[in-house]
Amino acid sequence: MKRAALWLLGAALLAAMAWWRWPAGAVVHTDFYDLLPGTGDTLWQQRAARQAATVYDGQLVLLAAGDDTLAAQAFVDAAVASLGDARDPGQTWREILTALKAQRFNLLSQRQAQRLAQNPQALLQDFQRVLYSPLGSAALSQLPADPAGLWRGYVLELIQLQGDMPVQNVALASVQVRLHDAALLAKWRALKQQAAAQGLAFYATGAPLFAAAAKQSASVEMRTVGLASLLVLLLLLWRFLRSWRALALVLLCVGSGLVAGFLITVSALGSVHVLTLVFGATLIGVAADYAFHYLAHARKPGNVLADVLPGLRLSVISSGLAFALLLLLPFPGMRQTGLFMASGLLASFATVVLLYPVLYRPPEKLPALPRLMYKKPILLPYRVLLVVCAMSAAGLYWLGSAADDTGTDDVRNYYRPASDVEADRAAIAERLGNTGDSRFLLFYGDNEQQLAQREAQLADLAVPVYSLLVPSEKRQRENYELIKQLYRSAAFAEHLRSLGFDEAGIASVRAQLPAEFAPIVDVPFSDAPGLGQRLGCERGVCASWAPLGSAVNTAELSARLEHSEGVVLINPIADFNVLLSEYRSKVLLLLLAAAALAGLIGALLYDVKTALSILWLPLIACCGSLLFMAFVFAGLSLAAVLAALVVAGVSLDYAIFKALSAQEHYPKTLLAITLSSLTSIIAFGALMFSSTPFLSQFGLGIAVGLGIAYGLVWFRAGSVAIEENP
Amino acid sequence: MIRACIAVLLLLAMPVSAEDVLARALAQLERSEHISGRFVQEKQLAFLPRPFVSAGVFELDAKSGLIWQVRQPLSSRMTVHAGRVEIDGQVVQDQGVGRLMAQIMLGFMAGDLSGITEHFEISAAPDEVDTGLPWQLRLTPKARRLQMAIKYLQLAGDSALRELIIAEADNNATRISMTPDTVDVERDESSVALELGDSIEKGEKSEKSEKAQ
Repeated sequence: MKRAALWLLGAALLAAMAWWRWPAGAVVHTDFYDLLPGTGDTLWQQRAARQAATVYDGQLVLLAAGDDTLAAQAFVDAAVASLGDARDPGQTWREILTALKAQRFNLLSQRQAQRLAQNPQALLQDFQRVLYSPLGSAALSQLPADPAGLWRGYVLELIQLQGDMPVQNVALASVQVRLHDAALLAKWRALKQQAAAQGLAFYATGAPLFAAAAKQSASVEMRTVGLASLLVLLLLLWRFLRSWRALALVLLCVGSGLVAGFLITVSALGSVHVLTLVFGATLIGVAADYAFHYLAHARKPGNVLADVLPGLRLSVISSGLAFALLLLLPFPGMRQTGLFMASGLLASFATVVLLYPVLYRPPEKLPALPRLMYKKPILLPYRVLLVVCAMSAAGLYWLGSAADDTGTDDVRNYYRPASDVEADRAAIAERLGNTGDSRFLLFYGDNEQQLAQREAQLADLAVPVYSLLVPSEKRQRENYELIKQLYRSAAFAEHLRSLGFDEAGIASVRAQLPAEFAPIVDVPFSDAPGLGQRLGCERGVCASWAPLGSAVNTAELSARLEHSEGVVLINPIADFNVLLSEYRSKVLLLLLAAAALAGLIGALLYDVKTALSILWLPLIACCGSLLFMAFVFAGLSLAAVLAALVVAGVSLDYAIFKALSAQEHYPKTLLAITLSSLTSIIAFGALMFSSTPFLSQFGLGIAVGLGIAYGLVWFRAGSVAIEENP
Repeated sequence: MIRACIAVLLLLAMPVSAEDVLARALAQLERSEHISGRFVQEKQLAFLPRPFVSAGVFELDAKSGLIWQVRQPLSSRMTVHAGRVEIDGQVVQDQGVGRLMAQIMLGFMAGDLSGITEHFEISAAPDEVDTGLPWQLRLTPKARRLQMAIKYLQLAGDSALRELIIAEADNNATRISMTPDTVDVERDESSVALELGDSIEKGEKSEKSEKAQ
């Protein structure tokens, strides 16, 4: 009972620590930038990426296309009403432009400024052509305020930068969705059908739709794959253990590990990334080993712990320390995973050691151990073993050295949207001339003025920078002077006269120009849709970002960037892929370090021979899994390497249990390993059927590795054969 | 007898329904694949002493769309084809005005108003509007976006659409008068100039009379 009290005390302390240290707000993060070290340039990148993501959070872009534009518009309006609240970027723009209009004499596009400087009369004549066309109606009404069409031209050029022009025969809208998940998907599909019935094509894209499709796909996978594998697991456990209590204890062992891992990671590091949780779920495989090892040995009442503790202890020390090594890496994601796994394994170990002796009583009638468990291990001569180990080490070395060339990591493998959702995204991107480019420009400057000047250097490439709205003070002054020159010219007066203004009207128009230049200082907006934003100033550095609008010529931009100071092109997907590649290299190194550490611990606790007789099995299983994955997928991915890490952890347990098992307990140890292998292979193998490439590769890697490990369990390293058990 | 008289009076007093006006318009419209003619566009603006007038020629074709050629006082050419609006060869953001004009004109030319009724409530024009033409219609936009730009459209005509008034949301209005003909538009410069001259003269006269008052 003392043991149970100790376990309860530990659980209470853990709960108290979590309560004391639990951070406010969301603790599970999904942002890939959380996996990056948050320093230097990365800090600004993170802020820019988050701002870019926030703009589209919860928002869907709708597009209807057809010969009848008005019908398409009416359909989109109805779709907006049925999906949520209209989020009209046009309205936001109207508010921004209304606020800016009073300071219109400081604002000119680069093209307008050039024309005004070179040939103001041509600019006025072009404006008159518009005024006399049927399209000039709105401009006519605004003549006193905008007599040369400069404000109108400036606004139109801004709109052009957003990429919604010139798109013909389509209607576009944005909506802040009210519906979620299954309801949203159902509505979206119904709208597509309704549109088709009206001879229109309807498309929608945005984060809520992708999230809904992903959730639906995950829940289908969970229901089919998860339930099937759970059923098989229960059958297996029942077949060999014949005890519901044993089943409950296995779940308790795994559950306590997961809960403790989660609580400790969040309490210590403040948050946990969703990928850490995905990888952390593999704790189930390792932690279940401890439970099986105990339960398989507990066939009769008595002190089972004495038989299994040496194996369990060595296992938890080696695996726990190996995962704790991850805490030394500079990547937040890796540190989280290391802490999660190490603390989770320790908690599962504590559950088995402290609670199982109290709670578990073997059933009175247990079926006899299968005959297979008494089978004599096949002797594997040291010579053969040496060759196989050397080949495995060479394989690992080759994989490590060729990792950069053969890497197949792509962040898009972590998330593959349903084909119909992806088709809509592609259709909208194609029609808007936007390829869904996630790249953006990051500007740096010593102050806001320098930042605005650097942004302006790229304005002629149609980069939608924030300074298009609020240029640098120098540019504002130049614009004001150009407009002032125009207003005072005789050509301007003649232009107004030809439009029908009398002398009083001309004087009234001219009087609107402020006598003195006054810069725009009070900026009541920062989130103009489609434009970049300021990121603020810190430690003498100011930064801003700008998306790559659809009108940007990226080839020309790249050439210009080579000679531009204070601006860099950020490609988040390429950055993520580099990050994944770095993670992969680090985990490969960690595998080698973990092997060395496990060998060292084994040698210290027992002897070198025992340590070597343990290490060969995980080494070969690990290399086998990695080589198989490298061969099948023509390169290594992080998924394959993480799978190898799990294989290493689990197969190390097999080797330890096997090596430290007394000869009379060997069949029971084999039963524990068999149960663990079968359950792990079934549970992780089921992931192979996931539609997410990362999970599918991860599952396959583990299933293959553990399959190899289980095959090797039937071999024994040495020079003398063991007598077969009776 | 008295009852019959009352019934007739009531019948006469009843407003003409939209369906009736639409039916009357459709009955009179001459279906065609191609129309050309002259136009005069006029807009009254509070800050200008005389109306803002332009004139020119147009050509409307079921296949190639609308060509709107302003000849006076400045030359410009607007084309609307397959939803694409250009002025002097440059694609422009027209906020729907050009496309709407083309759609309405094509609908009346073909005698098929189904596309128009889908987007507008059709009603009879109020009695005070008298253009002297056999039929008059008022189209009120159904869609919110269109309502933000246009209050209503007023159309009048006989065998063809003759007059289009665009009442804008800011209370300004543009009147476009059209005279269909079959004369080659390239050879009809003189009549355009004549009509524009008349219109400007009318504006100047009204300006003078206002000043005199």
